[in-house]
Amino acid sequence: MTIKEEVKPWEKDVLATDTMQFPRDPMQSYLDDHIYFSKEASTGGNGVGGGGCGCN
Amino acid sequence: MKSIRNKLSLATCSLLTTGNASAEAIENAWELDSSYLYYSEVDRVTVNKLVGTAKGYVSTKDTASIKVVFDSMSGATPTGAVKNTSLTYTGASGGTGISATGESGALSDFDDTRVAVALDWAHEYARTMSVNYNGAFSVENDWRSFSVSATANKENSSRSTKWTLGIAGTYDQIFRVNGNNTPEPLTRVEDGRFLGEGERTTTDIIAGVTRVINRRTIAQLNLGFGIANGYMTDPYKVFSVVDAAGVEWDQYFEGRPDSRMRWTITANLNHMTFPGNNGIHLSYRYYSDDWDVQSHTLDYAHRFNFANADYLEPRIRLYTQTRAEFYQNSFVDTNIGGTPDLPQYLSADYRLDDMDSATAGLTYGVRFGSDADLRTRLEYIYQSFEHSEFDTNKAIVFNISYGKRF
Repeated sequence: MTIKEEVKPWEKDVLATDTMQFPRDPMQSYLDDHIYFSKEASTGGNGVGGGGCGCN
Repeated sequence: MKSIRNKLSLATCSLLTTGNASAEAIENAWELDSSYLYYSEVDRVTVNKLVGTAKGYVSTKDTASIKVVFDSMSGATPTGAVKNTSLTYTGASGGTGISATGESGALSDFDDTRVAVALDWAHEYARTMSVNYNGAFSVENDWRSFSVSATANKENSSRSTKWTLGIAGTYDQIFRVNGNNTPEPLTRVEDGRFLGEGERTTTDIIAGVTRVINRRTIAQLNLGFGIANGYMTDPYKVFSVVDAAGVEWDQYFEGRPDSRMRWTITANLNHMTFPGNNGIHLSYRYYSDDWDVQSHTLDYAHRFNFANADYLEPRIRLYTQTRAEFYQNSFVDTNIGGTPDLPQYLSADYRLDDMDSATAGLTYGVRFGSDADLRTRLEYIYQSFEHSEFDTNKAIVFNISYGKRF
């Protein structure tokens, strides 16, 4: 997996699909962040903002 | 306006700009997404969550979105106390939102609802430069949270590399239900000594780079730093003072440091296989903070894309963390009836213990034409703890989402 040459705009069909974005599914990422934020001591890593909660 | 934006976007084939998530999405002026999540732990907490988002491409350079969240939470949660007690338990909270169950008070029932709203505005200042602004608040019976953030994205001229810099500020108010107060840390529960509301301010910064590796691979690296100051203690959590046999003879409110610094390094990789067009999605995060918590998170998902626009995606997430330096399951003192010589900070919150966790899940998604999609997923979460009174926690997650573009 080496960087051989720049990917041309007309070669970006695959990269333009939903599954190649970060995050792939913003809704699922948001829900996951909330679950694991509530149940683990670690948080963050993929963005900032959005507010907190007092989850048990 | 819509057609101009479509032509511009397609002509430049913008990949990395937030908001233009796909070639199909940019043909639509509005995107709606909705989701229902059911989270249920064995004999513990149950959460029902509804989320709705609406995103509008309000001009050729501006995107506005709103997210509304409603949570309903109920069930039993560990208080931090041990099960083996000689106390006649009178309850750690006294509020109606959370109350002791069982004889020992090792679990408490609670019931809470939460409403959260987030507004987002993204503006494209130049062809390769955009900024996302976000404001959010969250309100529940014992917590209020307000946050603002700004994230700048800069791409190189060929749009194969994107640099991201984001900063967020959060202000939280923490209090117990029916009292609007917080217990004085490290005081006897029976003495009932309370202070005013707790306040906390948090600043988070993230810097990242996203790079197209080749026609089928894209990678991202993020560095995160956060610092929080103020009330970091959980106003409901207690710990037991126990004798040599581990039998509780007194109970104290927990106390945590009033600041916390966190660091994260996160690497994400998306790859589309050839042939087959299946997705390989890998993520790793290293986390460290000045409470001595370190963690590693590995997340792998493999998307099998089928010819008829649906897909199946198994996923596994592995997580391990070290305990906070002030975590103890209980405090041992053989001078029963005396005043224990407590450390400066002490918490028996199981989430601060040494922990290993694994999540296994399966998502099924299907597209309806080019403008709608449905995703369902079922996951099982298993957590094991090294020292906590409850050595495991098991949960199932069911989630169904429906998106529609207009």
